[in-house]
Amino acid sequence: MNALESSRIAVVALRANPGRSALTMLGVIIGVAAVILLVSIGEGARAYIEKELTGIGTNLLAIQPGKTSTAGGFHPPAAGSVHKLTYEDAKAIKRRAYAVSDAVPVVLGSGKVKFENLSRDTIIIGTAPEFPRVRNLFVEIGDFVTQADVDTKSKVVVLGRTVYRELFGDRPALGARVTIADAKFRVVGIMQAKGMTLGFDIDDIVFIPATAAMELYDTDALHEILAAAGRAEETDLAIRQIKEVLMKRHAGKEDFTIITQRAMMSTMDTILTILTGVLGGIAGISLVVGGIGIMNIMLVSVKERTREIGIRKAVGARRIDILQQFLFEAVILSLIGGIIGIVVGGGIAYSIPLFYSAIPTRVSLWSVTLAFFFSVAVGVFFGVEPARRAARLDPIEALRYE
Amino acid sequence: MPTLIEMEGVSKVYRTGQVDVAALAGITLSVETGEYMAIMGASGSGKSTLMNVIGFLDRPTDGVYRFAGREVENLSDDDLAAIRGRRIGFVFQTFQLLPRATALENVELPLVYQSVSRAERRAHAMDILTQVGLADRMFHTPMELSGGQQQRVAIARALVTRPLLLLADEPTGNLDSRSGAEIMALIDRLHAEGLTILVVTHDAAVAGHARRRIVLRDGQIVEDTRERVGESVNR
Repeated sequence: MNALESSRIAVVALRANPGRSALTMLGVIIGVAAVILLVSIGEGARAYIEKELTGIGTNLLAIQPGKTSTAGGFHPPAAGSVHKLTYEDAKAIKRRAYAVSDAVPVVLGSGKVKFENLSRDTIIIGTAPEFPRVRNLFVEIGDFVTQADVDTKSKVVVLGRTVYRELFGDRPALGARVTIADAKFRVVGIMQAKGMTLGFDIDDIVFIPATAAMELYDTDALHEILAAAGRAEETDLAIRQIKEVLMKRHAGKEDFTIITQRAMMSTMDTILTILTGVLGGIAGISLVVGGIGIMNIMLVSVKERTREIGIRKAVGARRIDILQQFLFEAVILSLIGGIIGIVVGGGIAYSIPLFYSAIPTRVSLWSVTLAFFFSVAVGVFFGVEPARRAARLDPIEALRYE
Repeated sequence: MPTLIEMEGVSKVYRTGQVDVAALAGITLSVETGEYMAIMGASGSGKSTLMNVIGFLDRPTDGVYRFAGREVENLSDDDLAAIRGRRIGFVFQTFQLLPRATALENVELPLVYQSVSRAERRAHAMDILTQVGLADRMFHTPMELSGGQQQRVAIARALVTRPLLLLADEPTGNLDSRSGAEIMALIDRLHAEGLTILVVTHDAAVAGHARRRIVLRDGQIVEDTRERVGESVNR
């Protein structure tokens, strides 16, 4: 008997009990939909974070004081605080490491920015003119901090969008004087809105010259130096050159850490791959439960149809014919359940971002393919045993069965 | 006439718990093509077991069984199924029709397992149903048919593969006397057309239709009218 004949018989049998077939299928539908949905959330998160990190700049390097390793491992707490990074270090890197196109000092602080009777607590970044280029930021009105501002410790400030809006509303701000920690700063520019990146509001920041920030906080230490390799494929060379330059300046000691964008991305990627796997695995359990439902109903069905099996055997059905008939029933259940589950799961995954834009989802082809074949495999796996029982029945006893 | 069924010392032993029960104890039997034979005996005499063995639903424990000149032993379940499908037609007391299938689908069933194309088996099944007088009942399910009509469907199903042997187990057991008579008339007609027929029954009236009668008791043939009328027992 060919496969077409078997599937025809199986479909007839399934349609004889539509309610039961639908409920059995529902188990598989829920399982497959859950796999598609949860994997799409994991994949969506991964795509979102990759996009955000790429938006920051892929050939970015951050040099931070103290030796730690992004690759993990144990560090005694005292091993860190050895040597500060200074503005001179940043200048030296820029001058001598030719694979590095930019080396931007970053002094990080926070404080109140006041204008007239309004004030806002915000993040204050002391830096140099290259900062916007390295971080893919743009000035909308006026100018960024210039090299001359840095050299002369000018008290100028560039406002992030949020800070500007809070302090000035829609009024012009260029040339206005704001107070930062008792010092007056002249507004020279307003940044273009950038929005949230990884939950952090890039617009809620003000920029001042690095030298002015060091004076403001009475320090000569930089929080970090942001560097960019001239070309992405020269990142490794840039790292070597930065190490060379800094170690020469720091008495031969590697008392700083260079974090690459790529290392951050691969760490994130690993975390999210595990997350996606865990989510998919949890959903997979429900699919297995759906499979057990199929097995359960098939065992009942074989029992109920013992006489039918006897009749079929009496008129010449071989074991394989009976096996095929019942296996096809199980597989058709799981196959149709799988297809409906993909449509339902995919549909929910697509519509989630329409209602909750905070949850990005992405239905990937591999998860659909995997869920589909997994559901068929579930049907085969849980359908084989009931089908084998049916095929093994003794025709004489089966015919006598009431 | 060539010999269709030949049994020598065939026995069938069931093991129930620790006691062995011999349902057949050394059956020696020969049936020629075209014979019409009744197998009689009280319940538990082994007549059903004999029918099952002859019809390849069951295997003998011991002895030699030749069917259509071929010695049949060490057959797998699938071999048995293939012989049943092609050579034997069964008619049961309880009809044994698929309840949800139409008369036509029931008659087609044996051909499904012989990979006959849908169109061909449909045409053939319709032809046979017409022959048994059910041309206007083809698309009815067994529930919509009378007992006599159901048994006609079952006979049509048995005939659809053009078998060498028709095995009928109490074919009139569940029928009123009028339907029973009609069914026996149909079986008589099939015999007249040349089909070999074995009828298992405890009803003397049914057995009376047959030209030969064997009686079983405790798994042995205690009476065979063929020997009494002196026909040859040659192979």
